[in-house]
Amino acid sequence: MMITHHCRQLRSCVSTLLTHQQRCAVTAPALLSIMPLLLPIILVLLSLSMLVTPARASQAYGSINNFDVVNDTGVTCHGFEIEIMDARSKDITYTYDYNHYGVPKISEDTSDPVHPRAFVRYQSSKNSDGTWASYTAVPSGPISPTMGHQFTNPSVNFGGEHFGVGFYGNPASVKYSWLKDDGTGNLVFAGAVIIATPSFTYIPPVVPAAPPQVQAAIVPPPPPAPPILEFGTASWVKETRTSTHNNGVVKIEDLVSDDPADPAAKSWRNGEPDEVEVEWQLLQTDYNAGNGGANGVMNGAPEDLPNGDEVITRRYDFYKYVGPIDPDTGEALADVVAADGKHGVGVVTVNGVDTDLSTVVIVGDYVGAQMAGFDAAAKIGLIDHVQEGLQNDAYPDRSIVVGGTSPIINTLTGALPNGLSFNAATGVLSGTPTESGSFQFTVHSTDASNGDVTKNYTLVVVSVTQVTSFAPTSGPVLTNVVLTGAGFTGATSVTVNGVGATFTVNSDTRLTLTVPANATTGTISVTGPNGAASTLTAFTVYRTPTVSSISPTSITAGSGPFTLSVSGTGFLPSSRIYFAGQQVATTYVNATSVRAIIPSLAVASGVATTVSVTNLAPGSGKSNAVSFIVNNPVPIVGSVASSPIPAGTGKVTIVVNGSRFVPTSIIKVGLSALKASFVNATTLTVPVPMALASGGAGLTVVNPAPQGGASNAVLLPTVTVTAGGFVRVPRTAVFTQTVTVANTSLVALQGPVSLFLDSLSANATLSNAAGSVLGSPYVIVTAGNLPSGSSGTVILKFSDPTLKSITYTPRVTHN
Amino acid sequence: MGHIFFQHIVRPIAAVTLAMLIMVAVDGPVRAQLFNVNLDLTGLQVGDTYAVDFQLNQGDPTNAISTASIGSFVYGPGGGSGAPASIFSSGNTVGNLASTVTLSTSGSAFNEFSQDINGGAPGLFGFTVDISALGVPTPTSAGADQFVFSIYDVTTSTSLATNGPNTFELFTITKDTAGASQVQTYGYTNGGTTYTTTSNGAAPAPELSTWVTFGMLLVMMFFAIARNRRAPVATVP
Repeated sequence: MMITHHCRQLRSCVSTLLTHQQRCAVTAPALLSIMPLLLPIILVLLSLSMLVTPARASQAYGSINNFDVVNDTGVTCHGFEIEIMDARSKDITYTYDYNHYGVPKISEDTSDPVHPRAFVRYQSSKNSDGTWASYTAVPSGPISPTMGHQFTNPSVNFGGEHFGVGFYGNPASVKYSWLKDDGTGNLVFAGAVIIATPSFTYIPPVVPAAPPQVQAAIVPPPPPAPPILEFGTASWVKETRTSTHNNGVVKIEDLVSDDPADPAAKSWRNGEPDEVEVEWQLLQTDYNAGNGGANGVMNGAPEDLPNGDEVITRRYDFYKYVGPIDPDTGEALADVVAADGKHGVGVVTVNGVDTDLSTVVIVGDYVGAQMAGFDAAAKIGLIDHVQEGLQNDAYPDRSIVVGGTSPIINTLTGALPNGLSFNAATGVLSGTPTESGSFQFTVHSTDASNGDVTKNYTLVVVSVTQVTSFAPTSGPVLTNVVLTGAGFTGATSVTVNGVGATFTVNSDTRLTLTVPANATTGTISVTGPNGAASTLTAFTVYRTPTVSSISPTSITAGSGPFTLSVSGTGFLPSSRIYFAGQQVATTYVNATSVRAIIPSLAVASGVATTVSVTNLAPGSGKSNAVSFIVNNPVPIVGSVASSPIPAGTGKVTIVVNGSRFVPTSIIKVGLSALKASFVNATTLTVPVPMALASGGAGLTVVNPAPQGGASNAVLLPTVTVTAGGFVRVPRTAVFTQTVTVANTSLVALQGPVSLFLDSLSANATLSNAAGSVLGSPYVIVTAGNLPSGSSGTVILKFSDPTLKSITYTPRVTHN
Repeated sequence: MGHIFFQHIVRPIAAVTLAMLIMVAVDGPVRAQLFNVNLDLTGLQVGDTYAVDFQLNQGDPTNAISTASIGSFVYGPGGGSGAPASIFSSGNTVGNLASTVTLSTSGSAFNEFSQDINGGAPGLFGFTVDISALGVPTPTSAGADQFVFSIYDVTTSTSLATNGPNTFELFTITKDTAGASQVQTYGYTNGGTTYTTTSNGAAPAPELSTWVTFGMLLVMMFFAIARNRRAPVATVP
């Protein structure tokens, strides 16, 4: 692994401090707490560096890290993420784009403005069927050291990848994580990677005669979670100095070879050997020690930069630590690797047992190699690619121009999507593209060091998946629905209320789907390569309704109205309940529930009927019918009244008062069943032949099935009413009339016996009425019983201002 | 002797009388049903003004038309002179106390005629009323037509208190569904003395020819009895 590092002086000063803090595993808040102490030092170093800055060291662009990494997660991975603490997206200079995943996606998180984070995310695209297009295989076995550049051929896939990223400054930490499928098509972290990122400390010259220096250091990567034990994960690192004193331009892709300037790759052009292995060292952070402990950092020796613009590169090979570990603290007990590169040295005591480490393999599988470069005065350059953008999504600030010596002149020709702009002063591309498409542009940059670079770029802005409309908005299953929107190209899934549907992408803005047979009403969702979108409103799936239950299932006639609740499936707002074959006003609750108020008239009398639900057009028809029973009650007869029974033949109208009468009630007088006229639930009338009416026959009311039954029996009253003539109080409009009521029954009539004047002519008023029922005034003939054969006389008093005929129909009632 | 009297005198007279009565009976119903009504006015306050009051009221619109003809007014000693000017009438009424008064239910259910008379003691007021056209109610009729006679005290604007059902009737006539007249008479009380209305009852009043025939029969009976007294009486051996 080679390392190239470029650094601007000011950044180097701060980087130096940060590096020291990083060595001590100081967290960001802790760093802030010691800043007051560091600030004077920073200012001193800054002042000195400005005084002695070499002529070609005015511009620098940080470090470049380029590494092989073995997929040691045990599962097939589909991406890799690099998280850089204390960096912005525009601090990213180069990325290595020649692996299975291509150009990575760069983003940033500035929710914590003190510690922004930049993310470089390599991830697979998806095939049209939703499967991943790229992957990193699980190695079939341990992989031999790759010398830092063995995973650079995307055509092979034997268990590792080569990634790279360059950035300005010296970040607080850099974390690597493999990405795997969580089982639902989303990428999640598959585990931390123990490969560490070196930091380079630039030491400006403190006296004119002394050259500036640079010092490389490497510390274990931060743990993915708060440590439980005192010591963090242990690993072995082996540093190899690959080059110094190279003032050539080192690009990230150059780090895959030992010396780009020497095809033979045996030595650098300055005569130095191309690789000088330094030593093995155990890397393990002691969280209780302020500086990370004895193995918390591996510092290299400061190296002079006589010309001020030399390139320093390093390679670090990482291996798993498999030696004995203190079970209480997690400390790796073997810290020296024998000459064979596998076993340990010395004797340690583990759990009270002495162990000869020379017999114990303490160096595990190779997990990767980090190559890093530092350049104190990088020449001007342009990044390789610009990442894909998403329409209406903020494009991360990207530095197109890196390095160089001020003044730098940047020009951009060609087309940028609306919403994106190129800052000629800083060389940063930023904005939010508001249009999709493929855009070609060229960047040309020059600097004070006669640097002159030009590169053509293609920026693709893809449409975010969105649905603006759909038609039709309802229909039965298997209906073809057309979605209109954007970002449909590459859609991997379409659902109707969560049920997967077959679909065809007609264009990026048009998609046709078929409503699946088991779909229900709900929104239509499309999952595309650039997100998912759903219709704002639901597609209504018409289904033939089914009725599974109703409540209540029966009711007593005459007890309506009542609320009928129907449960089932496939109900729509257009669903209508049919009760006894008649449609009733229906309230739609949801797809499984409707209800209606059944009017009294529909349940006035007993009947065995049915309930069903019909979805009106354009619905899907009528449901099954469910039985409903209207039970007749057992009637109760309270009193019976009859018109005066004159002599002779014919019929007399009997009025039966009571309760629970139904339209199908039958009146039985003696053994004869007579069809009653239903007035209401408390009144029936029936014409009774004189022959039946006389003699005090028994009367009952019978309600037919369902249920129903016979009422209590009452004696039919037989009375005669004899009215005398009207006598006018002289010279007044007041009249009297004497009326005699005779009980012609064989039994006594239970008192009180009352005489009702039905249909009393409107011109007259019964002034001595005892009361009025339903508009008929009445007088009490006798409060007590009227024995058989006896009679009672009452004088009626009328007032008739109009002096017209006084007419009425007498009716006698008794209890 | 008694036997001879019964056989030869009483039997023929009885036979003739029976024949006369039968004739009257047959004749009566088909002629006017005339009632003589008399009222002793002795109890009335002298100097006050009273009015006789006749009314004929319909019991049911389905009843046949009824007519009541009142006449032959009689004013006894001390009674009113007969035809004071004040008349109150309502409904279908014709005439006055100077001649006859006729009430009819034709076109009017309630009909009333009232005219002043003078009270005084001793006195008598009489009249005849023909109710031959008083309708017979049908079996389904709500009520019967009715003729009512009463006295109205003009001075106090109240009816003369009687012992009738409504405390003012002196004489009422109605018919039941069988056509039989139902006649009721009542009286009034003054100073502890009750003065009762009288009438000749329900029997129809024979006409003049009947009375002539009846008188001739009586003469014939007289001569027959006289001859039998002079003739020897036959005996049974």
